[in-house]
Amino acid sequence: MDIQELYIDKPNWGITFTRPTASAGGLKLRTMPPPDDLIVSLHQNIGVAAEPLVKPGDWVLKGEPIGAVPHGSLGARVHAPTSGQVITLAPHSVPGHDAALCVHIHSDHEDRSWPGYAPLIDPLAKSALELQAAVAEAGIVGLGGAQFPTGDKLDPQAGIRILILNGVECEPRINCDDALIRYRAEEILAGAQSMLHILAADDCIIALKSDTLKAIEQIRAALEKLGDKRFRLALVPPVYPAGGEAQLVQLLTGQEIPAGGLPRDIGAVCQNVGTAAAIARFFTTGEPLISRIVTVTGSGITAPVNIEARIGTPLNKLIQFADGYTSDNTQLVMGGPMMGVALANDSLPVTKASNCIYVQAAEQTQPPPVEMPCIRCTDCATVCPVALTPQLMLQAQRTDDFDRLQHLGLSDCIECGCCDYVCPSYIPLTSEFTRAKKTLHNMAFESERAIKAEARYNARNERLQEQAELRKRELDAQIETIEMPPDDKKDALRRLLNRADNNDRGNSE
Amino acid sequence: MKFFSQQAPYWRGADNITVMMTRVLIALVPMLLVCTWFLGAGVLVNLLCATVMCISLEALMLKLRRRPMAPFLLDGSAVVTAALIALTLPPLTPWWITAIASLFAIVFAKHLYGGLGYNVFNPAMVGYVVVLISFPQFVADWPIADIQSTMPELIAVFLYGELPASVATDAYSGATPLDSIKMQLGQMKTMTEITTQADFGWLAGHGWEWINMAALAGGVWLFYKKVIRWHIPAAMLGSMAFLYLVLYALDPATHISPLIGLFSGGTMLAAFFVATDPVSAAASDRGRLIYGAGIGSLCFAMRQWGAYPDGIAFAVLLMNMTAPLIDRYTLPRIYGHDKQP
Repeated sequence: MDIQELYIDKPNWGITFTRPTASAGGLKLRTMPPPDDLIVSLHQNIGVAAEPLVKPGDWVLKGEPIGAVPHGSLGARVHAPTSGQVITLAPHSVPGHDAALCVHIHSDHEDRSWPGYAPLIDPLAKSALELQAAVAEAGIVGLGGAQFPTGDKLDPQAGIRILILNGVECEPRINCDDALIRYRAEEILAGAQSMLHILAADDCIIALKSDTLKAIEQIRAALEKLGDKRFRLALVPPVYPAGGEAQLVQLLTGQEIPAGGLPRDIGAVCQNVGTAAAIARFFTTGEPLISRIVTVTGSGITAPVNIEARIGTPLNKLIQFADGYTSDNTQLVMGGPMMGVALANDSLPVTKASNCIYVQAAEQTQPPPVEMPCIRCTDCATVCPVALTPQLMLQAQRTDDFDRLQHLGLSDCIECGCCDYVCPSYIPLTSEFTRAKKTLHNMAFESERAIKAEARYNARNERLQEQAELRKRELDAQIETIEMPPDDKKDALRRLLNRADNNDRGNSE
Repeated sequence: MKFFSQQAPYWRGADNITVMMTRVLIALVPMLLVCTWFLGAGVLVNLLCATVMCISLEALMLKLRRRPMAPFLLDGSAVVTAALIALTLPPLTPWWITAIASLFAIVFAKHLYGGLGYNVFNPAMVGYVVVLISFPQFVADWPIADIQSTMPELIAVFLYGELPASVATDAYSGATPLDSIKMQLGQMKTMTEITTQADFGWLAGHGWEWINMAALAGGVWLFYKKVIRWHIPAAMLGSMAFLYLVLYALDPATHISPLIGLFSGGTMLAAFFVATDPVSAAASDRGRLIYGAGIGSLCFAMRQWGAYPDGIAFAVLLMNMTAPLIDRYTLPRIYGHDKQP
């Protein structure tokens, strides 16, 4: 059977990164046994944090729910990654959150499974809503890094025509999705079939980077075996950030997601290949999302490798599993070299979003070069995947012209770092724009607070005025009741009462 | 264990301003050699003089403005300005003309506007135009190709501004081919008559065709190296060729052909090395097309109807002024938006 293949043209934006020869075929995938202690965050999703279902001292089994979504909110369930005892329930620093409520589980080294989830014998025989509920039950979120609760994204009512399976790793060096495709292509396709069933869509494009040859081979073989005509394979040039959702949708469909909108606005939904595999795993084995593949790589790592690790595994244990650091002085990055977040310590745990730990040895990290003035070469605008004009935005930002900055599309900036990368003047454009966004956010917050304060002040004044008037009317009424004093006496009495009244108020304030 | 934190991205491309400027200088080498071949070693003397002046003035201004010396002197921009001045001035130029051009370029056009990246006008063109307007007698006449001046003559002109009394000025220099074509057309000669004269080469003015060819070659290399992009040169040369072609099609006997037009004067130098100066040009792709077309059209109009034989420097400066306006109306449409901002 012939699977339709799409060859995507190289876009006129972005940066082409060639793979280092050492990892040209992709890093190996190894499974790491659960460590002694796991720190499981209850907030591993877009939306609200899960509510704990356990308390210190409880014994839990692998796959047992330990966090539930508060009723009526957007969230994702959390499950125990292994069996053991809950030690504490306390805030802990995790990637993306300074202090998220975390369940600290001490492993009993038995890794016994919770019997609560039975495998689904034939998921495609179930109704769309049942499957959607099952996906939510498994605590599955977007594994590409966005962590959007997948159950909510797979909305049968959204009128989705096309499912895009994203296997185009956005950043250079990250290859956890590549590894997943190389080792478990069939699992991904099974998950995708369930997704198509939920969405009632009959078009699925699997997008892969055109230089991941082994992965392409594996997915072709799996598609051949499956023989499902709904699937198409798209080969995307290795241009960063072609794996970004908006960019991929544009490359594959030729359509742009409207500003501030979602892919569903143009009838598409984007899912990471890892998410599809997680769904298939839950349906076939009953194991919810308690592990993920993390690429551990960079010049600071002794033996770069893809590790299938339990959620909650501390990063230092993960790095030990990759034979440790090569240097005592390194840059530790959660994510890739273009958009990753620098971490100040390695005791943070793996979350559902952790696709890569990139460690750069200090010897390879040049000190930040001297920043030169912008020479308006416009290389930044040429590589910008959303067609911004960073050179003009910088000008507006440096003169605190926030109106112009917003006019030039600050809120459309995806902070991919391409402009930084090419800037011949070494201007840290991305961090300037990130800072400007924060400033604007704070300004909006401040002005909202000012408006509220003003409203509160006005309301109080009105209230006081009303009270004063009421009091005056009462007073007048009282005076009227006094019998027959002459008019001047009446006035004198009123003055007296007023003074007493003022004194009262003066004392009380 | 120590972790240090920078902000993303942690990788950087290899290009920087110094690399860009060095490539521009490398791309100018062919033109410099061809100029020397046809017009004599004076061009090298100019280059040396302009470079010394520009770098000293750059250093002086950096000191006065209390800016770090090393990064700005090493960025190479002053040397590029010097090279452009040297190539736009005639090879037999007294030193103080070159010095004045450098002074206006570096001090006035560049540093008084805020230094690298902030100049509204192309510094080399400002320097050139100042001496062109103020001292036309030293700048208008160019050496006749192939007649090499001797070293003592060169030194005499460089130091005192005039040839030794024993030498007749006319033997060495005269009007440029563009100027001479214009004059002869005014004398009711036809283009066929003019182009069959001895001082006319296989394509355009003898020597000048090769100088322009060398600049074109350097420019193509710059494009290949991604230092410049195609929009400005293409729009500038395209608009010039089109306008030349319109008149030429009407009456080939009395009008310059597009090829002669493109390979005369400073056309190629301007198209690839001056108009493409990013600081003073428009920023967006569409804007650069308009900007380039503006330079081409203005240059054509000035050559055709203006008082100067080659108005390219004026065309560049006039379009420099419009760059911010062009930028304002040619912003690209942002992803996901219907209209441009």
